[in-house]
Amino acid sequence: MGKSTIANWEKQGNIGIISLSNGKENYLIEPEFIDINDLKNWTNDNQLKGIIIKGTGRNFSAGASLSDLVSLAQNKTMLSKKISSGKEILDYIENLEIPIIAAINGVCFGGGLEIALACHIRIASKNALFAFPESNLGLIPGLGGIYRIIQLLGQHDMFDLILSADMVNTENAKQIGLVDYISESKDAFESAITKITNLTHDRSIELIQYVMKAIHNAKKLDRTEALKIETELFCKLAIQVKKD
Amino acid sequence: MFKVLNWHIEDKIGFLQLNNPPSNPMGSLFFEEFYWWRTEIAEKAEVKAIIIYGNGRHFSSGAVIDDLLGIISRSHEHCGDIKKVSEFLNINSQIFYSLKDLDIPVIAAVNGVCLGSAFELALCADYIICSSKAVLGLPETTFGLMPGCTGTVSLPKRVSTAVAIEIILSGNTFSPEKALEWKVINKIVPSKILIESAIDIALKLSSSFTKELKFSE
Repeated sequence: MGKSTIANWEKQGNIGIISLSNGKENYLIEPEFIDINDLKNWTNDNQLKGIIIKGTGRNFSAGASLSDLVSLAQNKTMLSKKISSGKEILDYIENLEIPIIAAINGVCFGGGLEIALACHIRIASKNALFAFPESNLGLIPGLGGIYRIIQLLGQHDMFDLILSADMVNTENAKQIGLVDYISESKDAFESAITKITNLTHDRSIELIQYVMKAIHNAKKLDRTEALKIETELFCKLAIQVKKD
Repeated sequence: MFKVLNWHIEDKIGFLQLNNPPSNPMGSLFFEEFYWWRTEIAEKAEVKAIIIYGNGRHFSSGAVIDDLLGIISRSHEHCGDIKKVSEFLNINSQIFYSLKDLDIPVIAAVNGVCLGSAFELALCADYIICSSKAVLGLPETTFGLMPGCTGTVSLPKRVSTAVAIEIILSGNTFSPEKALEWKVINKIVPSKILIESAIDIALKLSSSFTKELKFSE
């Protein structure tokens, strides 16, 4: 693990858990909050049915700290390199062929919110807070968050969130579609475990991967190609089911 | 002309009825007739909107799974090549999805059960109106399968990834109220006025409809 990565990995049965851990707020020291090779090793596991990302303690992540950001910005070439690696990490997460849930307690700001947006499902406890504080600093979200939020919410709510830099609570975040589920229990992680278990425990890993691949294709490929692959995946499963 | 479909035109609105009551299942004959209807009739019909609905209390229970599995495994044994098997089956998907290429609005009016391929057909319409008694879902994953007739492609274009995963991977059926909350459907009306409400919608949509409003790419 590199010195600036703040992510730890553990497994509970077929579920992988990534915990962000850096002080109370789980500040991201760098856009590379996780070593991509570690991430690839962890997820290259044919027993894995789902993943949860959470913050250690009371918060998900407050994003980059101002002082880290300032010191990163000293070297332009280095900064732009680091941002590309950060984007690569989030793209990798978004394209995973098993469901990945962000379990969000407390603050989820800036880069933290960008991580949550790369996940397939967002579950937040009632006390969570969301914001892109970047514009207060004369910046914009840099890891693909703007693109992801337009896809998710449309232009209107995107402007509210990004230009105003206002904080949004869980209830409002659910209303605009930033949050998918509000956690019944105080700890969103408990709800996330229940959700991922319900979705995956009766499903084979192959089936989960096929479904996720098809859902990704719907957004990435043109329709003729996406439909072709859907039918092929369906036929593979059908032959399997007929044999069993 | 048709056995398991009915097509008639009234006041310039085309009505396509799924006609194999009580549950209007989609067997091989349905897919043949639907192909014929879409390629030879729908294109040329002088109508300003199309309403698809089921005969009786249900929209449709979807594809006849045993028939479908039989066809797939027999043709796989015969030619040994999944790509060839799926090429043949893929015609059904392309033809369902091509409802989006018509330059008139297509409305699915859903009563009772609308599951699997039937729900996939409804998702290819521009507007889904449900009676309060509708039961919706893509239950394929509960049999070890996945939606194979446009569902995994059309659903993620309408809803968030989270909702698509919930509907497809859980395989649970859901109510029209839930579907409306998820923005999967457009409107709920009492069962008694489903068709007349669909006609109202058809008239409204067709007066202002442009191809850009189609729910395509």
